[in-house]
Amino acid sequence: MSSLTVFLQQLSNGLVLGFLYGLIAIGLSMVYGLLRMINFAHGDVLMLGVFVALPVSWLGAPFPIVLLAGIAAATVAGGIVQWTVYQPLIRSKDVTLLVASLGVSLLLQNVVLMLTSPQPKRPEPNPFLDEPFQLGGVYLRNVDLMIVGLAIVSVLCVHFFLQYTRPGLALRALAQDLGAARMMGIRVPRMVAVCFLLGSGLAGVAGVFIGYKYGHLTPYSGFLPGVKGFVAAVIGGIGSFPGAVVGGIILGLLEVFLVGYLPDALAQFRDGYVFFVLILVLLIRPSGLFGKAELVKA
Amino acid sequence: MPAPVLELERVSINFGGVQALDQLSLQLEDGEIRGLIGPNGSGKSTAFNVITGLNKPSSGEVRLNGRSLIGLRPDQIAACGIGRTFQNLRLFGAMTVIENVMLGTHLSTQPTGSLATLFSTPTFRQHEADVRERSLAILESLSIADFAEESAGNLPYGVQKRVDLARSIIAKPKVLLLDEPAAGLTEHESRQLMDLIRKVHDEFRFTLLLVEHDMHFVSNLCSLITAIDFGKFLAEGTPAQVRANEGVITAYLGTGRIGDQARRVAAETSSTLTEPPGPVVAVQDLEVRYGAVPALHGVSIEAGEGVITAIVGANGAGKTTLLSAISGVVPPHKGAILYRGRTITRWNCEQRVADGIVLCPEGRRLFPEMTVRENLLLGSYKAQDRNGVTAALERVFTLFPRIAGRRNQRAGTLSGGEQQMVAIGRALMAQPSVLLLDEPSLGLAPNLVELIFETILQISASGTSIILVEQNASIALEVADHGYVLETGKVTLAGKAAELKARQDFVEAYLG
Amino acid sequence: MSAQKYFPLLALMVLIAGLWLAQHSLNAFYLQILGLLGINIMLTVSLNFAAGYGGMFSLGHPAFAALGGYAAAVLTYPVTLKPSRIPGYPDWLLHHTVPFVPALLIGGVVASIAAVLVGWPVLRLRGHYLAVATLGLTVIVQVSIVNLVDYTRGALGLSGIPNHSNLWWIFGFMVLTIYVVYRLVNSRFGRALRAVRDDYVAAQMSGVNVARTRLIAFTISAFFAGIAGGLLGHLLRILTPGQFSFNAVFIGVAMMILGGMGSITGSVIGAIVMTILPQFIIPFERGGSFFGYELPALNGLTQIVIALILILAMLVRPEGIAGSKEFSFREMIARSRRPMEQTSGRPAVKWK
Repeated sequence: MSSLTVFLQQLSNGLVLGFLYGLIAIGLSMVYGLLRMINFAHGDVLMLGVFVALPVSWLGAPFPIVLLAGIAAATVAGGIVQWTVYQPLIRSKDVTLLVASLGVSLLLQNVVLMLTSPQPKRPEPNPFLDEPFQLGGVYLRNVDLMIVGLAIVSVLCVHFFLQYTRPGLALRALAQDLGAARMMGIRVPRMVAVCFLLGSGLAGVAGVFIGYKYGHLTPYSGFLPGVKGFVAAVIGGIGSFPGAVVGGIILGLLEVFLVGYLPDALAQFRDGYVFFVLILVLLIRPSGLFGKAELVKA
Repeated sequence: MPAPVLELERVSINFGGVQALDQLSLQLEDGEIRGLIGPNGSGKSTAFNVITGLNKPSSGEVRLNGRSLIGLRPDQIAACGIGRTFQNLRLFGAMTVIENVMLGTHLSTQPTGSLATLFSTPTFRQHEADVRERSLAILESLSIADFAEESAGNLPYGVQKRVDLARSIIAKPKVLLLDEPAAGLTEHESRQLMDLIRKVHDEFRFTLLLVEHDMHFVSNLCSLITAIDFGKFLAEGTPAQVRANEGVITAYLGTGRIGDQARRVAAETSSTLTEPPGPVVAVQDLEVRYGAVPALHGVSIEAGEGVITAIVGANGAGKTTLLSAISGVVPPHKGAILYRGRTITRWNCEQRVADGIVLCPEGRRLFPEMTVRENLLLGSYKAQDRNGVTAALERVFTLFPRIAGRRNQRAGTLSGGEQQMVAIGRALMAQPSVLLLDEPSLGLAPNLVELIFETILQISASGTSIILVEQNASIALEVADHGYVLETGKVTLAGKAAELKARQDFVEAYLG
Repeated sequence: MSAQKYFPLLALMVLIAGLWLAQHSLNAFYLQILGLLGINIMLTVSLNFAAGYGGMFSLGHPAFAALGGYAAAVLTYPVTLKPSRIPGYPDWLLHHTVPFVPALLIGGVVASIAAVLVGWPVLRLRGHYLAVATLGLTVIVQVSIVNLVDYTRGALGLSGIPNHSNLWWIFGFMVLTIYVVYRLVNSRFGRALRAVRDDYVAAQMSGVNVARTRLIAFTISAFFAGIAGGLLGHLLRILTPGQFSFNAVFIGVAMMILGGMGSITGSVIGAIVMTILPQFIIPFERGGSFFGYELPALNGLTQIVIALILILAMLVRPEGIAGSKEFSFREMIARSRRPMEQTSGRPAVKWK
């Protein structure tokens, strides 16, 4: 394989991973922009979504139904969590929200563990998704194409929602100036709920695809992608919707290229590199690519 | 002449396009008490932040006894001998009062060394006892020794102010910067504070630089006053000289020039009123606090239906707080707010907007990343009738033709005057019965101020009741029918606008 | 009250008596739980120093315990096993062992060095960002342990650590930790640290070097975590990367929050509750027959209970059991005399 082909292969893999991170990052970024909190439970909501989608796939349902089940479950879970735990704590100290989200994360992981088992699971193999796809020396599977395709569609939908609908306008206003938005009569709790539902839904999409692409799902499979999603949001600029997508793609490319081009011994540290990048970004350019600096420094 | 102890030499600093300080120069002599005054946004706090190292100036020098302070960390500057109190106190809320003051000794005591600390040697214990004793002594001289073991966060405001003062005094600074020390204090309390500051100044002989809005306070305490506006030096002299300075008076009170046509309209509408109309909004005995800081005490006003009511007063008087309370942004501690006879005190923002009380906030608060059109649409967010929204949009563009051509431009890129138009327009989109305008003239050039106020008259003529808060009292009283003067959170004067303007004590209310 | 002055001495005597009793009456299983309790207290108090008193909410504490633990273990590891199990080290290390206490201290130092390296860039970040950055440290350390197999035996874990820990060493170091933290908190440094936590801008105005104060506290916190890690390794005789993962982060946070941030007493209480409570739940987790009912194995029940407690605490009593107060006889007696809690006297304005 020529080195160009290798490069293109890594590029494609990185883009696919990047879009997954982007989907996860959007919800995290928007929530942080509004509430100034990192939702550590975001990744676990994603996991919950795919775990509900699993039995649906085992029953033989067609893929769109499985996907919808996953999205619905994640959205509902996200909605319940924000309504019962985060909204009541909206005026609390930073630490309180942070700890609460850690608590929710722990809870979700172990409830799913209790109801299922620690054995890794995978969705019912879908021949269409598994079918390989070749583009000039670059090997992908259909699932990868679906990921990119659906991610782009989702991002466009969110963009459309934010730009051209009234609630979208309200959300953008809230993110820019919460106080002034309140003066317009925008109801903050309702908008916060919309924000969470939207973010969780997108995470649900990512979750189902993670299930199909990687298999090997455990109740703990959601947390780390969730935190990595946050790193992506930071890279792109916390609080910024386009930033989340761009940040996700950058992180995906970074991770794949580091693993691909470093010697094996160093490549195994892939998760560590992600956080190393986070610390670097926070030091050099804490506002990321599109974000606002004042949110970061103590 | 002896060398100044603190010197600012042509200090300039720029925040996101706004020139906060513009070639400001200042010299403080050893042991003097100097006042620094200026209207809202004139750069006083910024000057303090530059001196204490929290902001780095883009050009200019700051020197303490000849030594440059530029580039030093804030704690290093403190070590050089500059102390500071804060307008919003910034006490260490989770620590006791005496611990707050003991922290003030951080610089003036040598650390006893880690071993002594860890083994609690007699040296260490003696040291701690010394620090404690000194702190208690300061607390006693400020008459708050009884609160020594109380948690600093939960005390009455007046006590907290003294803790802040104690914390800075105990460090025995060469220069002490006091940031609005009289803010939120009653007349009695501020007289006490004045005596206290004089006493402490006599005892410790430090140099004081005082930022304050309360002109009585500043005039009585300071030997010299420096006045600034728009970050630039305005005037300097004794309190009497500065008070009489025309530039200072204009900076505070503004000029009351509006077009002849508008003037005629104003004269017509006020002369056709035979009887004062019933109040559309009434505020009764309102008390508002920000945490422990009292902003309004027992304020009662009435805004007539269909007329313009002006609320004027110096900075820190509570004008914005009053509008925030009426619009529902800030909940009142005590008192009632009535709208057309109904009590709306417990209503939230959303309900008030839906019912017709709309605020155009201080500083505009536009959404900078959104277009003019989107900002306007947000104003009508609550509107049920979407067709009415399009009509309202056109009405706003007719009222402010200057922004009609910029409807797709991002609001953050507009000029100050255009932004103010969008802000007013956005408030109008909600079809308000009562329009609350907070400092519409802020930061605008005089010709734009004229334009805005002429438009305000037009809006009033169409039947909307307006409550107008302005620092530029002259023009506000020119367009208004009735007026109230607020001073440190209380109403001190009230009456028909024309009469108020002519009164002798009106100028005094501003400049002491 | 003069009784308050003698409280530490009293507590120490009770502790010594209790330990002696435990040594002679408890079986090995319960002795180990007791040992874990002492280690948990050490970890919680040291974390609280940086997080509760210093305002630096760090999720990286397990990383420091891991570094200290592995360092100490590698140093005391028997020479006969070292070359075969952890061959990566230089020869002089492979052929020597270090006695227990120096090894522990070196482990603490290793953790401290890591704290300085990480803390210097990271401590200036705001709450949530600091939390994620330090969480990253935990991940980096864990991933490194798993992958540097020649130095740590990777995911398999380093077993065969000599059995040097006993209750006396553990509780001895625990008392040391509490003592040092207590002394520091009530000193010029402690006031500066708490001032930085409450309002770092105002602290600067009084001459406190914010960055340096934070770094010192963070490093000291890491030092004791490192020693705790070393004690852990020599108690359980095995160290695995799984012991220092996200779960450890959660438990650590839970212990500190439940007890109350900013209170040493709180940390002790929190650690006790979180160490003892799971012991009651674990039987249910394994499943079996209870009171005549057959219950299936409920995996993760302990964690669920901990999570629920955490969430409920945040909703209802975020300041924890002890809040920020320390134990005092005076308070206890006064509280038993007061029939009801006094209200703060400020009317609460409720918004719809």
